[in-house]
Amino acid sequence: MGTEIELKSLIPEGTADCRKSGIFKLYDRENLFDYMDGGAELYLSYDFQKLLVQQYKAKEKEITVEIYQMETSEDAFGVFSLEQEGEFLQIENKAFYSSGLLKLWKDNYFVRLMDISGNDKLKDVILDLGKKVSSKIDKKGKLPELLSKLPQEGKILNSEKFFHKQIVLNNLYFLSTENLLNLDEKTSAVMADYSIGKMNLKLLLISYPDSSQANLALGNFCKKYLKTTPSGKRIIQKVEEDKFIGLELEKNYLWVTFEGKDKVKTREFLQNLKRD
Amino acid sequence: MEGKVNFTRRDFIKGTAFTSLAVALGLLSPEVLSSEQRKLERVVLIRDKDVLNEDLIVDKKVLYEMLDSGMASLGGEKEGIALWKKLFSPKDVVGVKINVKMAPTHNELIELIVGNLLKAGVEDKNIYIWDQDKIGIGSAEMFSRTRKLGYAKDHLSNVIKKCTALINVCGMKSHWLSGAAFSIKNWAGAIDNPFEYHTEDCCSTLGKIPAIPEIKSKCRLIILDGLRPLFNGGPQVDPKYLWNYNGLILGFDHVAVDTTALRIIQGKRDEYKKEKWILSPPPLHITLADTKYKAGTSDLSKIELIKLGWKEGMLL
Repeated sequence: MGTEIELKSLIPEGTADCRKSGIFKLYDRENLFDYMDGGAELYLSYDFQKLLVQQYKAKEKEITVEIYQMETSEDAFGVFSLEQEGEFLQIENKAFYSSGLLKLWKDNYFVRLMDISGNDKLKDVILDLGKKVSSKIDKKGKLPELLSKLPQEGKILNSEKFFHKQIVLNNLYFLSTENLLNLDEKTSAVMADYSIGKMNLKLLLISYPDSSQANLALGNFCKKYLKTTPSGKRIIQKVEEDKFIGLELEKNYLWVTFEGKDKVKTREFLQNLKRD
Repeated sequence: MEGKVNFTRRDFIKGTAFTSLAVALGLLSPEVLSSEQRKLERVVLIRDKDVLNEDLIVDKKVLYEMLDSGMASLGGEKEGIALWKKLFSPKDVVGVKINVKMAPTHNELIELIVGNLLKAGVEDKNIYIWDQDKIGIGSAEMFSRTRKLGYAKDHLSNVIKKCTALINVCGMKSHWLSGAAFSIKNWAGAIDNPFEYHTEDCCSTLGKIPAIPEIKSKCRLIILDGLRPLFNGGPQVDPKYLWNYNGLILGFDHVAVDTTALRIIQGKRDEYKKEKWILSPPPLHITLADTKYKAGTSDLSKIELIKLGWKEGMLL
């Protein structure tokens, strides 16, 4: 998977309004830092394989096309899920556009097309180019199964973020400098925003390799964050700013809610979670 | 890495640690800080609404005036060149550490800095412009930068070893892994082991780099390019989160410069969302650069901030 030829075949010559400019650059796990320095860890946490970067010229401006190849379509969706904002477009699976940036996900590829000017002057060109790249990817890919466990009621549209590691969690919702939930490459997690009546909350669902590891994570989080010992499989505790944290352990899954302002509603939310 | 930091969201909200960071982010009032030490670190913020046009082209004349006025103010001089001459002599070999990736420092600014070094008497062959191991020597190579000098055993760029003086020319970005990337983070491009600092604890040890004796003793000037900063995400750019701030921040103290930049980025985020939108993760490395590594001050009561030029949208 991920040969130079495969990636090269995804870049179009151009459109009626833009042409390729210069030779593409290729990056792998070893040299991704040369392209984005501290940004590389984000992609590496999603089992990044290769990146191809090609410039295009359009109306005296430049469009940068980045095609990221991940090992799996789930991880390509994961990195895409962090950028689900802007105008929703149905380019194959899912795409978003805003201010000169088009982001799309298809199979194990995440694609960014950008005019850094930050305006919409090249919007049509960028969308045309994006469709051409997308049409060269045969398969659609599949969403992470974990997403299907999220309750649909009250979920804010396109708020779900799929990831594996602590570094991504801390970007989405800073919890601690310590890895209190024992997240690593073997865990899968999804975080989403909910609006329940007048209450907003964040739901984090983590899948561990087995139930004992889920149990360990619960214990660690309770001890170090809540400063308590878990007394069962469901815990609701008040923290600062009159907010409640809820935890629910179910086999190898750990559900955590943050920011809930109502204890009863937080409990009801946890009770109504979809279980296997 | 030594001395791991244990810090949680709960500590942050309670304000029981990282007080100066909480103040910079607007979570606590500056009055909670008390300064026994009277020495102030001067930081100059200068802006001009005409430095960028609609097509984001830099007006070099305006930028020249900004840099000159800013330097004059920073040094308490009538003209900027007087400070350049105080800081750099014809005997110096000067390394200009720029940032070339993802919203890079502007070439026009680099050109002005090299021009000022020449005016101060530094020889053209003794000016090194670099990021990572891509180096240009003198004005003819300042944009091409194809030379490589490698790194020493202690991981520092050989440019640092070769130079007698350094200038840190950094960008102004939020950063998904470290919270923010200003002058402290810029040094990650001057070592060959940056991954050791890009850690899951919000890159808490980044503040150690400007405190490395060779960097601390040689770095004489910090120039932060705040012409078009990034206030969300980063280093990878979403143009939606770039804005024309049209500013430069000048100083001698990494932590004071970064604390000032942090207040602006946080202010922009709050303005954009019309509510508190705290950087995530919190840029702990800025405070730790002060409290743990003694690389400078993050205490607002110890920073003498001079604000010059365009006031609208200054956010300070």
